[in-house]
Amino acid sequence: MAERIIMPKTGMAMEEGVIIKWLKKEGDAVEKGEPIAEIETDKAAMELESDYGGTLLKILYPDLTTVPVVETIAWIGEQGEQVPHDSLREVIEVIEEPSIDKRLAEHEMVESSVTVEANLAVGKVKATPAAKRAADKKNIRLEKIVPSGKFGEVRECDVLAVEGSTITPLAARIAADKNIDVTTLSGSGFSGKIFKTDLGSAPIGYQKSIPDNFEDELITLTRIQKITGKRMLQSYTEVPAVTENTKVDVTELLKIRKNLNESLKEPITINDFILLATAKALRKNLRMNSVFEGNSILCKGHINLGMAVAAPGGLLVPVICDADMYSITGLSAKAGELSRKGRGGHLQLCEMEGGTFTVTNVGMFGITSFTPIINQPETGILGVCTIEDQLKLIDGDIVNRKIMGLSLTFDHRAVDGADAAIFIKSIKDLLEAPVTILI
Amino acid sequence: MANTDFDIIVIGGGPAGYIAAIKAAQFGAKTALIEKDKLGGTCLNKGCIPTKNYLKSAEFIYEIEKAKKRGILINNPGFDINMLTAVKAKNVIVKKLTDGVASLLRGNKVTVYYGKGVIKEAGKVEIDGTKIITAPSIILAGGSRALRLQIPGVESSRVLTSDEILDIQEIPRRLVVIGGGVVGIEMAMIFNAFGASITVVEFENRILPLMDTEISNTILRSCEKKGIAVKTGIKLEKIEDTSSELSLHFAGGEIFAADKILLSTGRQADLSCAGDIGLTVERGKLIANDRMETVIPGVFSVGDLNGQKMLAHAAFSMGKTAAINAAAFAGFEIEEAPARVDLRFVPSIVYSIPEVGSVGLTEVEAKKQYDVVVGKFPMSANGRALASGAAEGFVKVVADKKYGEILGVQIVGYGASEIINEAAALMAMEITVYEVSGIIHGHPSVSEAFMEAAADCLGSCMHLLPS
Repeated sequence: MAERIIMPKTGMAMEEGVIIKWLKKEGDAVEKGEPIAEIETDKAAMELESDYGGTLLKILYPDLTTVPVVETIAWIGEQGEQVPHDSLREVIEVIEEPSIDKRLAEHEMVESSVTVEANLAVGKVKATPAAKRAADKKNIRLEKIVPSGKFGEVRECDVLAVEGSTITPLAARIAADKNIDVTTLSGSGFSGKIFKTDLGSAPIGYQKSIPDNFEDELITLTRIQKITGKRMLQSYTEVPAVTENTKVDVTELLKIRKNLNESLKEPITINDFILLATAKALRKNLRMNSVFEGNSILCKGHINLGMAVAAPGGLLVPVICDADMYSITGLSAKAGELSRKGRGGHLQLCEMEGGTFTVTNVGMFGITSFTPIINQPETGILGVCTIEDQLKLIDGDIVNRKIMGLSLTFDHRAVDGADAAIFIKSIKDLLEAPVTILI
Repeated sequence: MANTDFDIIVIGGGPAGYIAAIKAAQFGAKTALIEKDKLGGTCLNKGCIPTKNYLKSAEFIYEIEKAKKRGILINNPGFDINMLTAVKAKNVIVKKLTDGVASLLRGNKVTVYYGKGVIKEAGKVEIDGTKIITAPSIILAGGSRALRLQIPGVESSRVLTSDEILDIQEIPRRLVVIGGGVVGIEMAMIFNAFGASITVVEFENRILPLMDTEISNTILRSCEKKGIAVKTGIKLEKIEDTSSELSLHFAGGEIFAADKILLSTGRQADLSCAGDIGLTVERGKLIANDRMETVIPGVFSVGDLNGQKMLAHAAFSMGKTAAINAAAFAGFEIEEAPARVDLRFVPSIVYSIPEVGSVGLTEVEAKKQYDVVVGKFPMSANGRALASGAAEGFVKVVADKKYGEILGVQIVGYGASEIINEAAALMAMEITVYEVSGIIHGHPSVSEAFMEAAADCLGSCMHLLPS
């Protein structure tokens, strides 16, 4: 029976193709897989391979004709065979092969570029439909195949020529289910045949099938986030910032806090102690509590401590004015109130103004050190890190101590490294002898 | 290796040993084999082959009994078994095969020593306590012997093992078979056909206790139909040999009378070749890994001796594996080394009537590890089996629901011993039920039942009513 040759649909979006040139004429013998025409699809030119062997009985469209996809363009059959008349222009339904398209789509996602030796095409691999079918059947990725097509497309014969290791039906079934790339595997069976147990060595990353709902999501920035971003960039580009890290032994601090909290209604947090210690250290090192003004440095007399609060709409920095004048309980209450307001979105603008130094705490997330960005026009920002258990040798005994990290970023135009180190050391000294904070 | 007599010495000329020796010699290794009795081991002399000879006779007898139904009228239906002739005929077959092994060894230039080989130290073997031969690699293939229950009275000369019963000159009137495993069931069927009155006694609660339960039940029915009495879940405690008969005392007070007892309670490794050089022995087996290596480098343990699977065909595979690794250890360039034995797809066969074949996991075992689907096809729906008057039995395919992997196949029925090899081959090649159900099988053949059972796993069996 005569078989039809159709204009192939090489992609979901392709609607028509152009027959550039017939490579065979009516009456020519055609072998299965042999190119019979050059065609141009929406993406590329390629050779059209015959899916059947026989004689080219009838060409329905001449060179340089545009033809809708899946329309019959020629008939192949036995020599002398009649072409069915009533179906000359019949358009047949082609069942979409989602597996092929999906695989191609995956290739695009997984590999942005393709090895040059295998295929010069970047992105989507050019291949004839017959080649795609064969590759799908053999579970070979098209990028791995060296194309022989005139326009760099992979042809069926290229796929068939791949000396891939053979694979057992069971292993093939598992590989297809788990989306395991078997082309790079060499099996343990005769001549490298791949068995079930060989699949374990497949490259990880191809193991899982990619769900359909992995879509990009556009998030519009809130006003606060936009302003924060702008200011962060400005600070980052304008300020020669340096970060110094240190470790503080807070074992005693934790003990004192525990004792204090036993008698308090509102518990004091570690952060409260750090805020107060910072404020007190700033009083002794006013150079850190300053604004750099080009030719001069303005050391501020009031210590107004900013505290970074992660609010739902973005980062907020409420300010505790004259923080060094608070008692620990008073500061704790003030800080608590401001952060509650911040998280609830009730902060007044005036509560976020006039800061002279900022403290930001990411210790609760287990961060051990980081480089905070200076909240301009301030000179420094203290990053508070997590508390970890550490064994220490004290008087010949191995003891467990609680160690906290501090990361101080400062503007090197206003402060030298040594000044900053002295400042951070005074915070450390206060925290390690916590009674001194309370006095 | 310099200054040794051989490259490889094999102790034991059974299936594991003689295959190991031939394989080693094929690599060009100078190989010696030491055999203390007859070449061919248990398989050729006292196991697989001689029993198959008798089983064919039993089959004849059962067929004669069924002949009338088919319209074959035999005028004088009485018959007697001449055990002298039967034993002689059996011995002719055995001799032919053991001579065959000898000539294979000779042809491969393996030096065969007849005597008792014992390893004295790594690289050194003593023969009959006098001669010492040396080689870098030594393969121990000492085999096994029939286990004798340790109960009072077991030493009676009328208590036989499978070794002795094969050469029995006279068919006992009443034979009690202790142990309803593979050997017990085969012997029960043979001597039942030969005219003895048989009782099979099994300690577990079913015969063939290591097989699928449905197999046990089918064979039990078949035994009962043939007039073989089966007692399960009882324990023999004592044997009394009065001069006229044997009396068997069971726990609970039951007493049977018998003229002969066959002990078929399993086999134990014969460790006598292993000497006293510190090899690991666990539960009476000389332990080896899947490369057949023992704890001492250059010393390998194969076959029944390591007990990984006490079957001749498993022993062949173990022998080959050991030979590859032993040759490599002796300094030969062996591409396949290191070889590992894979015993996942070793078929187990019971040459009962009807036969039993089993490979892979049983349904119960498979359910512990997989989400399982079971396909089944009865022999009563298979044309060839029916036409052969063998409607008993079934094929069961146990498969993984997700991928269709064939996890196990159990067959009872006519030709099961042959069909099970198809299942084993396909399983080893990881063919799934999806493919098996599409493989065209010759019609009519019993093998079609396997294809149909595979199709039943997919709910697409053609010759069963929809369930």
